[in-house]
Amino acid sequence: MALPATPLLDPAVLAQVKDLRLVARTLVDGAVTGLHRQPRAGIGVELEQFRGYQPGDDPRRIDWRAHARSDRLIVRESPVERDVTVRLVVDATASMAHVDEAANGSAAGKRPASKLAYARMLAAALAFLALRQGDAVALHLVGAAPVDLPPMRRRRALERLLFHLEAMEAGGRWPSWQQLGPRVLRPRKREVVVVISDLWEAQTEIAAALAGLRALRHEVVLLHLIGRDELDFGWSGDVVFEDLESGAIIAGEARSLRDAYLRRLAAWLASWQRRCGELGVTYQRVPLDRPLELALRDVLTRRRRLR
Amino acid sequence: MSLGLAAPLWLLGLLGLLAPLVLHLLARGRGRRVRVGSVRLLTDLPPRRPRRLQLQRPLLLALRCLLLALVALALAAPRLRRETTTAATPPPWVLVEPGVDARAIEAVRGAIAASAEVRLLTTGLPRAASVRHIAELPDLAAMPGGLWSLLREAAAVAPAGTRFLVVTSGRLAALRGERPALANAVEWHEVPDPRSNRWVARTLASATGATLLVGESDRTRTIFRREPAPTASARSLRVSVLAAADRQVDARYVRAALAAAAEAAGVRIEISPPAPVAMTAVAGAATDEAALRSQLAASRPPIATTFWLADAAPPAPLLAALRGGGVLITDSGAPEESCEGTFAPIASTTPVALHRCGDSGEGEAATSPHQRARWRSDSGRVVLAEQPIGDGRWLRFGSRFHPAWSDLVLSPTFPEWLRDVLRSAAGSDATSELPSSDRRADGGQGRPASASLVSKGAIQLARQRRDVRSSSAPASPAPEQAAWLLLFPLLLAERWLATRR
Repeated sequence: MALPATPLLDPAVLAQVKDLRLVARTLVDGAVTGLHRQPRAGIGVELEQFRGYQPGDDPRRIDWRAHARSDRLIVRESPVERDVTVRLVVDATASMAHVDEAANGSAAGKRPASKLAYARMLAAALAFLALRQGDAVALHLVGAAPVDLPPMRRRRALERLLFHLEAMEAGGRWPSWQQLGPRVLRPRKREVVVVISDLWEAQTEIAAALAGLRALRHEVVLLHLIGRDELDFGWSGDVVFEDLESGAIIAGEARSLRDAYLRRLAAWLASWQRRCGELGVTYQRVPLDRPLELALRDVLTRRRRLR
Repeated sequence: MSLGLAAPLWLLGLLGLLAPLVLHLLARGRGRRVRVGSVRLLTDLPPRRPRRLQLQRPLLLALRCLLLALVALALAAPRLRRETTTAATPPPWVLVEPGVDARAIEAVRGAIAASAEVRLLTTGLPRAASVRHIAELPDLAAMPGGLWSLLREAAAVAPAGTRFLVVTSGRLAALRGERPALANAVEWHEVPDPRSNRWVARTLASATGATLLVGESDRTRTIFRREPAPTASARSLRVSVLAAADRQVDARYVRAALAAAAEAAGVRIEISPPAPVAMTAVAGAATDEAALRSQLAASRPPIATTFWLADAAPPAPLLAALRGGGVLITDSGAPEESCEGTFAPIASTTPVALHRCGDSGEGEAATSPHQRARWRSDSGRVVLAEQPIGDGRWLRFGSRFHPAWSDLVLSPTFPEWLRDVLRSAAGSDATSELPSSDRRADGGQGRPASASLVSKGAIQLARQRRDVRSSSAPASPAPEQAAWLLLFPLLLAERWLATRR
């Protein structure tokens, strides 16, 4: 795992770049160098197991060297490269418009990026990576303007994906599983589902969606975007907190709220982690001030470990 | 140069700094608005502990305090005071109105400025010691320009920075014209004026004529009392109307107009003969010169105005009596001629129509160089000619006092003219004997305006501080103005900071 030689790119800086394709490529090049598994290294090159020859096996797969050593017909089995579909489910609800004011410390003077911008770049990078590996990519934007793109593996698919990602705007709320399920489910095939969300839900609709996806034995990776200010409660003075989704308002002096908030936050995060563990969902927390390459690398390593 | 304050009491306004301090301490602050994904973790938190007292937005507070302090400072009117040595200060001038009590002058001089130069407020501002007969100097109120022009003159003559101590009776009559703006410091000392101080406050109509409401004022009190109008009721004029037989109508118009004019002039007249007499009696009297002469001589007081309404020339005794004073008014009937036209007896009245004319004595105009045309018709014809005879006047009317001859008798101009005639015959205007107004100025009127006025408010301040800076040279208003000017950018900055999010 060689670290990229270039300095890590700040999310706030990357958000200024208009060309999402360039962003995705830059990210992938930085994060995946040395990490990437060659999916088409050739049948039989990688050894999975040896077993005895049985009638019906292809004689070409008999390992002659093993046969010479052991004088038995031994068949070499290699892992079959499966046809993987990567399904990206991106949360584009109103709460994703949250701007992390504490995260722009590394790029002073730059406008801090929102969760939505972070999610956009992350999704673009994942789509770019998956398409380059030959996987099919499906995209679902969940919010006020829902978008559902079926799995595509052609080169031109990237353009469509990036177009919709760029046009994505925060708004609306997370739909119930009854509404969302038919959009994302393709029951016959197992897929890798990557959910990018801030996990702010009105009831338990996101948890229900995760459970629903897991019920079909999909591999589900949850990328939890959370602002540095949300993590640390980095506000001070008199603050009026406005809920982006419900519009509810809580006013108060930040310091007096901080302790109780942090306690509740820890409990809330723990509950999500526990729930994901129970469901078998890969949970990855992504603070907004974490460089995107590192976040991407986190995702990929966690996922490979699971495979 | 040193920076001083003209109205240091305004610095008490600095106490107002407490107001923003308290407000910033107590203000809860509007609070920054933060949009977060969810407030779920913040709802229903246990009651927050009470906020500690702490200053909100200290920069804004500092700016506001600065603003208030600047306002107080500007009101306190900082000014650069020129340090002048006592040697350089010229001795003050004591300017004394001639006629005020000499003891008062000495008192003022002794109490205020022993080294002062005493000068009299009269032409040339002479030193008091050099004038022998102060009583002969003209009254200040009667001088052209009055007190102000003399003060201007003094400011021009005196060395720069001289302080003026004006000792005056403060009579309003002396304060004429525009109040000057002087660079000098002026102190105003009013002293009692021994002279009378009476004025007519109001003229009231009464049964016996006119009554005057006369005010009398001195330093301690003001009294109003009623007095009868002085002259009008006391005098009476004798007016004689002598008319020929064919002038009886004319005489009636003249008598009626005389009565009206006498009332208007406030003069009591006595018309002789008391009633329109038979023409023969008048004619007879007119022809009998000796009888007329004796009659005229016997009349006491002498007849002031005589109307001779006849074709014949006035008899010699009448003319002789005229030399002693009075007015003789004659008309002319023959030779009669038609002359349509108009004339204006008194300026600014509507012209009066003229129908027929007689001889107005134009032929004699050449022989009598003193004759003067008083009225002329629009055609240039002399309608009324005036000829002085001795102390008297002979007014020749070129027509008759008859509506067929002239509209004069029908016009209101006629009694108006007669009123003027009666007044002049009475010798003088009755109102001239009324006491002239001699009121005093109040304190505010009796002071010259300050030269360094910045604003209206500064006028008030300048008055208050005259005593404060009596020993200072003319002050520069620059720091005060700078303070005011600085207010505006600060105010803008405060607004910007306060409304900024």
